[in-house]
Amino acid sequence: MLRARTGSLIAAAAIVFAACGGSATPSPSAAPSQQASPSAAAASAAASPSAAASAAAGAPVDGGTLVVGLDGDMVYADPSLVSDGNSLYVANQVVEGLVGLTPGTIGDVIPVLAASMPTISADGKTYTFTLRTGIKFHDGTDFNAAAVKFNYDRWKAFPKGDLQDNAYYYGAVFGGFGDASNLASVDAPDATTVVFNFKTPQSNFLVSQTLAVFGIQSPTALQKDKADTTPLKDNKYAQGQGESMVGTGPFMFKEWVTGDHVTVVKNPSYWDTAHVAHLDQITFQANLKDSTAKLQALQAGGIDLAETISPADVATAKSSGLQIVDRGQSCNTGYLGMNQSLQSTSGGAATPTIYANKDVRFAVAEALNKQGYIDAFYAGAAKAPQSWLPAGTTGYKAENMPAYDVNAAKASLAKAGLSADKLKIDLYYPSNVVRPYMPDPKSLAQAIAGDLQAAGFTVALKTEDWHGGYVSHATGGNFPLFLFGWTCDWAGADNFLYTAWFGWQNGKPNLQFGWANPQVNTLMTQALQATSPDAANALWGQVQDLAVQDMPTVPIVNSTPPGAYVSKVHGFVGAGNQTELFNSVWIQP
Amino acid sequence: MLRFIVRRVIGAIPVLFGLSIILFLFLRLLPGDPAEAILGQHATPELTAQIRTTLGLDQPLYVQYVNYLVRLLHGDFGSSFVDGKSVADTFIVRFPGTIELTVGALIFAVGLGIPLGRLAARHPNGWVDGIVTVVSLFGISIPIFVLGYTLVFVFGVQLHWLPALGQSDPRLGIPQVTHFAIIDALLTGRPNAIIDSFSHLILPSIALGSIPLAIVTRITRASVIDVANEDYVRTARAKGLTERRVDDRHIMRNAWLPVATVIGLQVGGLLAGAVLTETVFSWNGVGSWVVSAIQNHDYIVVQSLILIFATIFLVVNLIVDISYAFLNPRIRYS
Amino acid sequence: MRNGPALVGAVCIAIFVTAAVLAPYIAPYDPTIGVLADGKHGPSLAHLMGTDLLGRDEFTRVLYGARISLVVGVVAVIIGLTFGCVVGAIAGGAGGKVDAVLMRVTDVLLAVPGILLAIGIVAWLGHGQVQIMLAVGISYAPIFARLLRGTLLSLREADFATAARAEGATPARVLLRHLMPNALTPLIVQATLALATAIIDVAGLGFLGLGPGDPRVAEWGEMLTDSARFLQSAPYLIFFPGAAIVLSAIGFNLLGDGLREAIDPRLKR
Repeated sequence: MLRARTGSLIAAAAIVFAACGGSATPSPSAAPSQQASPSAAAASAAASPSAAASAAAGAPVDGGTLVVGLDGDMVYADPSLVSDGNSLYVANQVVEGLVGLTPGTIGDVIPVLAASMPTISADGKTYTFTLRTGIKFHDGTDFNAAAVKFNYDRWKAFPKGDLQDNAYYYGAVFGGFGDASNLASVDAPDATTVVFNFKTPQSNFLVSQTLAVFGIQSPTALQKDKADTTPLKDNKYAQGQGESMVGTGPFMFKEWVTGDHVTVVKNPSYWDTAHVAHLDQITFQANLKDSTAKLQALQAGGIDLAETISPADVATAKSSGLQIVDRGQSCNTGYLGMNQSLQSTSGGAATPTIYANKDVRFAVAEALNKQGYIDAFYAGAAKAPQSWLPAGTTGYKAENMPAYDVNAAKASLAKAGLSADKLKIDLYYPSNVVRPYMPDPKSLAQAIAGDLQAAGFTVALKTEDWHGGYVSHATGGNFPLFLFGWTCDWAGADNFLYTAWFGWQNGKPNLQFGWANPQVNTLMTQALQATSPDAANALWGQVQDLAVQDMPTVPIVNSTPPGAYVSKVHGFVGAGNQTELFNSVWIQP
Repeated sequence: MLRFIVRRVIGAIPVLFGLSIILFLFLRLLPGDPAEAILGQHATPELTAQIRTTLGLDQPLYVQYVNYLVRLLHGDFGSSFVDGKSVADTFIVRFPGTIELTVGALIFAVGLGIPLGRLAARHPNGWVDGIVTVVSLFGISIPIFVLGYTLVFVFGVQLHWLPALGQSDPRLGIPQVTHFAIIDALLTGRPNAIIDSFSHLILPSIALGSIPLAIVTRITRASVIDVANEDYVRTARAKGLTERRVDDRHIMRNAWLPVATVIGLQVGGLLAGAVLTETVFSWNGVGSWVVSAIQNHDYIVVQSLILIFATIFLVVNLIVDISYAFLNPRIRYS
Repeated sequence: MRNGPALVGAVCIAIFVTAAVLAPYIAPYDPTIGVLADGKHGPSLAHLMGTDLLGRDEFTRVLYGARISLVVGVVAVIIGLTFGCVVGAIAGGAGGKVDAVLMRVTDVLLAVPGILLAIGIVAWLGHGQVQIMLAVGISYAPIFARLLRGTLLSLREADFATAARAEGATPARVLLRHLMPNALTPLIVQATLALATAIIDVAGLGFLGLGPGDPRVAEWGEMLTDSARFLQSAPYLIFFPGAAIVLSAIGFNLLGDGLREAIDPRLKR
C-alpha cells in the first residue's frame, strides 16, 4: 500500500519534471541502454517491444520484488568457479568486470569498470586500462587497480584440484593456470591503471572478459571468507553462506537456499547513478524443472518472468496476455554432425564412414527442411543459418548454404554411388535435456529422420542421456551422425570455429567430425594471434569459405530461446546470449 | 516386545550394508560421468580425466568403497560432485518439503478414504458403492502428472483460487528456519503467511494422495465388510447396540490393521509419487533431488540418499508392526 | 458370470485387444510418417483424433499404441511374477531363517521406490522397450514375493498339506503339487491389478525421460508424456492416449476385482 502511494508520487513528480523540460529521471525509451554509445540505437531497436510497452505505461516506478523463474539452480556463489548459465544469470546482476556488453546485444563490448576501452600495444601483447574512480564494492571497500590485480592473480594461482576444475573459463581463455597461462602478469602501477601483459597476442581477450566469471570481487571479502578453501563443500564463500559474490553491481547478493531460490537486493549506492536499480529485490526461483509448470506459474502469477519458456508454449502464453521476450541476435548454433572417422569406444582403430564422401555430406545438407523445423519446433524464434556462426558474431561471413531440395539430395546421393546396405544409417540424439538451440531433440531427430528417408537413407534412431555420456561420446567421435550444438561463451568466431568444432587437438583434427583439412587449422591459429580485429575477421572468413565448400557438418538453426513475463513488468531487455541485466526492470504496481 | 525391536534393528544392519555395496557397484556401472555433469557442453577428454582424478574416481573400486564406508560410519554422508554441497546440509534443506508433501497426501488419503470406504461398505454393491469404486479406480489409473497439471490448470490458472507452484510465495519473505513451509509460516505469526503455506500444500497433496486415497478406500471398504460379518459383531448387533457404536468400537478397530499395513507399504510408493509431484509442482524436495542426482551421476548423493530412504522405510515398517500390538491385543511379539 | 463390473472390465479389455490386433488393417494412416506442416491440428474429419507435433495421425497412433502398451504391461507383469514367485516360493516353502533373510531383502527392495529402481536400470542398460519392461517388472517382484510367501505360509498348516506330509511327501513335492496350485489364485488376482499399474508406471517413466528406444513407434505412455506440455495448446493430444491408458487400467482393475470376488469364498453373498 505504502509502496504504491510512493510509486505514484514518484511517477507524478517525474511527469511534472518532464513536462517542465528538466529531466531528473531518464525517459523510458532511453532506460535500457547503460551507456550513451553509438550502438544505443541498435540497442533500443532490439529492445523496442519492451521499450514501447514501458513508454506506454509511463515513467519507471521504484520498488517491489520481482520473482524470476531460472532454468535451474546455481552451482556456486563465486562466479569465478562457475561455467553454467544459471549461476552466470544471477552473477550478471551482482558483479561487473572491466568490460561488458551493451544490453540487448551479444557482441557490442563497452567499458564498464574501465573508464574507456584499453590502449593496445602495436604487438598486441599489452593492454592498458584506465579505471573509473569512486566505485565501492558491496562491502564498502574501494574498487581500484590493486583489487583488479588481486582478482586476476588469484585465478591464475588456483591450485590443481577443485578450484582449477571448476574455473573452466580461466583455463579456456588463457590456456592454463600458473606458468601455463598466456597472461604473463597483471600490473597496477597506480590506483587507476591496470596493465595486462600477454605472452602471445590474444584477439579474443576483450570479448571474453565480458563474462561474469571475470567479474571483479572485493579482495577483503575474498580473504575474510577464505574463498579459496577446498574441498568446496567447506567453502562458505562458494556455498553462499556468509558474504558471497561481493561485487560492484546494481544488486547485492542476499541469500541462497539450495535447490529453491537465490535472492539479490538493490544496491542503493551503485556507482552508475543514472542506472540504479528500480526493483528492491529479485528472487530467482531455481526449482522450476518443467516447462508446463513454468507456464502455469506465469499464468497463475506465481512468477513474474521466466528466463526461457518452451517454444510450444509461446502461442498459449501470448493468448494468456503474457509478453514474450524477443532475444534478437542468436548466439548459438544447432547442427547435425557428420563424423568422417568413427572412433571406437574400446580404443581400437578408427573406421572411415560414408560421410568421408563429400557427395553424401551434401546429400544430407540438401535433404533437410530447416524452415519446417523452425516453424514446428521453435515457434519461429530461430533462423536458418547462413554460415557456421550466427549473424552478429565477430568474424561472421554469410555463405551460400545449400537449399532444401529433395531432388538435389537424391542426385547427390546417386553421385556417391553407395549400395542400399551402406545407406542404413544411425542418427543419435540426446535425451533428458533442453538446449537453447534444441528445445526438443526427440522431435527434431524424428523430423530429420523423415527427411533423410525421403532422400533415400534408411534411418535408425538412437539416443543417449545428455548427462549419461552423450556429450563425451559426441566430442570423442563415437557417433557417426548426431544432433549437437554450441551455446556461445562469447560472441566471437574463435569460440565457435576453434573452441567448439574445428580446432585441431594434439596435432589431429577434432574428433567430432574427423575433418582433416590442415589449412583450416593454420588459418585459425593465425586468426587467434592476429593483432587487429580486421585481420582476424578476414582469416575467420576464409575458414567459413572452406567449410561451405567441404560441408563437414550441417548447421541447422540459430535460435533465440523465447522467455515470457507478466504485463506489469517493464524495461526488460533480452539478449541472445542471455546476459541480461535487471537494473532497467520495474514493476507497474 | 523389546527383544523383538532389538532383533529387528540388528537384522537390518547386514541388509543396509549389503544394499550399500549393491548401490555402489550399480552406480559405478552406469555409463557417463559426474565430470560431464560439471562441464556440460565444455566436456573434453582431458578436462573430464582431470576432474575424475580430483573426485577420486580413478582409484580402485574397493578403495573408493572403503573410503565412503569409513566416512559414513563417522556420520559424514559425503558431498555432491556437481555442486560441492554436503549431502547432510542439502538433506536438511530439502527433506522437510517431501515430508510435508507426504503427510499432506496421507492426511488427504486417510481423512477422505476411511469415511468413503465406510460409506461404500454400508451397502455393498449398491449405487453409492459403485460411485466410490469408480472414483477410486480413476484415482489409481490417472498418471500423477496428468492429474497435477489438470488441477493446477483448473484451480490455479483459470480460477486463481490456489497457487501453481512451490511451497510458499517468495514475495512474502518468509524466512526459512526449519525448511518446513508450514512451521516457518507459523513462526512468523502472520496470518497471511500461514494461509499461504497451507494453500500451497493443497493441490500437491491431492495429486500425490490420489493413489493412496483409492487404496485406503478400497481396503477400508473390504475390511469393514469382512469384519461386519464376523460373529462378534453380529453378537453386538443382536445385543441391541446401535449401528454407530458397532461401527466405531468393533469394526473400525479391527479394520485399522490392514489400513496400517497399507500405509506402511505406501511409504515407498509415496516417495515414488513424490518424485513426479515435486516436478509438476516445483517443490524443493528430495524426490526431485534424487532423480537429478541419478541423471548427473552424483554417485555419493544417490548412495547416501537411498540408504537413508531404506532406513526410513525399515523404521516406518517397524513402527507399523508395533502399532499392531497396540491395536489388536491378540497379537503379541516374542 | 453374474459379476457386472467384471464383465464391463472384460469387455473393455477385449475392445482394446481387438483394436491392437486389427490395427494394421483398420488404421487410416501410417503411424510413423507425418507431414510437418500438418502438425498440431485438432480433431477433424481427416484426422479423427487430430495430429501430433510431427503431423502424424493420432487415431492411428492410438490404435498401434495399444499393441505396444498392452504387450509392455503383460511382459512386465510376467517378469515380476517370475522373479517374485521364485523368491516367494523359496521363502514360503522353506520357512525359518531362509524366509527371514529373504523377507528382509524384499523389505529393502520395497524401500527403494520402484521408480528409482527403474531409472537405475534404464540408466544402466540404456533406453529400450525391453529395458523398460525389465525395470517395471523387477519393481513388482517384491510385492509378488511377499504375497506368495504369505499365502504359502498360511497354507502350510492347512489340512490337505498336513495330510500330504503324513503320507510321506517330501517338502518339495508338498510345495509344488499341493501348496502352489492353491496359492496361485491370489497371485492371479494381484497380477491382473498389476497390469493396470504397469501401463501407468511405464507412462510415468516416460515423463522422466526414460521412454522406449525408437520414439517414432507409437506407445500410449510416450504419447502422453510427449503431449503433457500441450495441456493448454493441444489438449486433445493428452486426452486420447490418456483416456486409453485410464480405460484399459480401469478395465484390468474391474476384471481383477471381479476375479477376486469370484474366488474368495468369504466375500460371496
